[in-house]
Amino acid sequence: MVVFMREIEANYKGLLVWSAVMSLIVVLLIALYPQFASDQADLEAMLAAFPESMLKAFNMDKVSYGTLIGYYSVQGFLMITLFGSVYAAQLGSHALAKEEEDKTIEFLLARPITRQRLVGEKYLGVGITLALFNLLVGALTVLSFVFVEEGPIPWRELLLLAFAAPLLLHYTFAAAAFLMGTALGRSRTAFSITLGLIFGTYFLQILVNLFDNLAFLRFFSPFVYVDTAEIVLHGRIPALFVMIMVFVVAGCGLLASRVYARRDIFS
Amino acid sequence: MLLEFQSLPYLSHRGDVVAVIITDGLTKYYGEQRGIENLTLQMNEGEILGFIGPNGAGKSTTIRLLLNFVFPTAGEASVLGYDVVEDALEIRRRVGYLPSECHYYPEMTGEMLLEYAERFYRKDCSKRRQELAELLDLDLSKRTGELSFGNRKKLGIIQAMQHCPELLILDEPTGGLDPLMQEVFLDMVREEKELGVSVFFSSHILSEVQKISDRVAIIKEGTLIKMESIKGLLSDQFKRVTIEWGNDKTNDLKLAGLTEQDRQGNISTFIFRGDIRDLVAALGGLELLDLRIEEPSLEEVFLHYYDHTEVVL
Repeated sequence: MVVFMREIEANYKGLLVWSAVMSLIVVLLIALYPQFASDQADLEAMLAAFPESMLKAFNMDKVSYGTLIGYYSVQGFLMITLFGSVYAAQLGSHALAKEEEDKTIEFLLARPITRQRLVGEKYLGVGITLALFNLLVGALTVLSFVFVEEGPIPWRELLLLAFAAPLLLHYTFAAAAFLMGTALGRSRTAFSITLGLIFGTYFLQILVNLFDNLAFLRFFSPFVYVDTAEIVLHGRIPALFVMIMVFVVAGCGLLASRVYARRDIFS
Repeated sequence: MLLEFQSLPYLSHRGDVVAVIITDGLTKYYGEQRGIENLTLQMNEGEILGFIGPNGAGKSTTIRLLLNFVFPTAGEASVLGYDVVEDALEIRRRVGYLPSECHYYPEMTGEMLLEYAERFYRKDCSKRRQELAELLDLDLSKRTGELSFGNRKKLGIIQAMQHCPELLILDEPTGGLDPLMQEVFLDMVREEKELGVSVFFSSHILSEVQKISDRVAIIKEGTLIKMESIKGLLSDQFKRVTIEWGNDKTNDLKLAGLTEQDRQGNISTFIFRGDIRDLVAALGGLELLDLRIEEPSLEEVFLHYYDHTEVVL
């Protein structure tokens, strides 16, 4: 596990910075809630002022802003899924491609390690880094939630929103970025394409929310997979969507390994 | 072809005796672009093989194929009896590789990098590492990002040698080293050879290859054009002859095996290839003031195999 250990070591500074910034944002958002909710009349007036399409786009038509979990599912969750995915894309696209660009890959490939193992340990490195990221940010989310929430705590919904949903989403984008980086050997290209994917599929989710006749497009956006209304109202991420994400993560890893094992590596 | 190498200990998986490096019709194209073409060579155990040719001849491509960084378009190759594609892992376990340009993680110190490299082999290399660093006079506490090209090369030499490999593959190893360090390095390579290590030494600098190699393989435009012992290359093949005639009017010699004849006043120079007795017989009875028969330098030998304009020396 030499490469894996090195990967964790190399990632840890970035991990701390990303975790700190994301935690800060989420904790601040949660801390603001009491003030925000103190005047229900104001809140309702504000919501009424929003155009209906906007409420629909952000699931605010289904999820109540009057509860902390509803508020968090719209505000904090968006931050952690969207920006966390950018971090995931960066980790995935850089893992192997950066070694090629920095020409350190010759150093690695001259060692007694198979390419499959190299890919595997790098992939695992990305996975564990993202798990730690979600663990840190999620823990702080839950802590501040418990601190602020005055009523009973909806544990199931909270844990899904704080840990499971963002992790699955981050893994999915990291997997796509990793596959592209590994296949192309160019981290920037892989990162840019994945960024496009993240914001494209996010926009697609909004469209799916807005227009009922676009429902068939829901399979093409991982953001739909972790739909907050589904989590907050029914306490679940649909099994089919979980399976798709697990399949994407496993498939991208296997494919990356396959492609990399037969590729010419220049530097 | 393998019969020539029967004294060697390396066995292929089928039990055949093989050489340290064998390439058979090895060909690599990068798309349309030629890397190497139909390269067939064999390297013996314990020898230092100079692999020479100008930049772009395919030296690095050959090395990348041997280490399985790239895959052959055609042909096959084995290193230490292992197939370069199928058994790349076994090869890497036993080989030390020094790339022509060394790129490392800039935030790591030399020590950290070498420890990272060591972990892959699961053996303690710290003693050897210190020895090598002392020989090369390299400060391992500096970050690799702060090292000059030459010092990174030194670090490269240490990472290639610290795990005591059976075969060293060195790609333009002296580039970036100052002349004094080059000598130190060549001594280190000689010492490795004494310890039984085989050395594949790629270079376009002929004088260093001449100093250290047992044999040379000359590669031109991706094809092997000559494989010869240094001695054989220098002596058996041809001599540079200079004659000072007793008078200006003596005709040039007419003899098979003479090339590159040049006459300036009463001095003739030429290359003679063949039985030296024929030359002596032809000169008998002629009026000579002086006669010099010299070994050609490797440069001259090399030029013989190349068009003069192509060689970057």
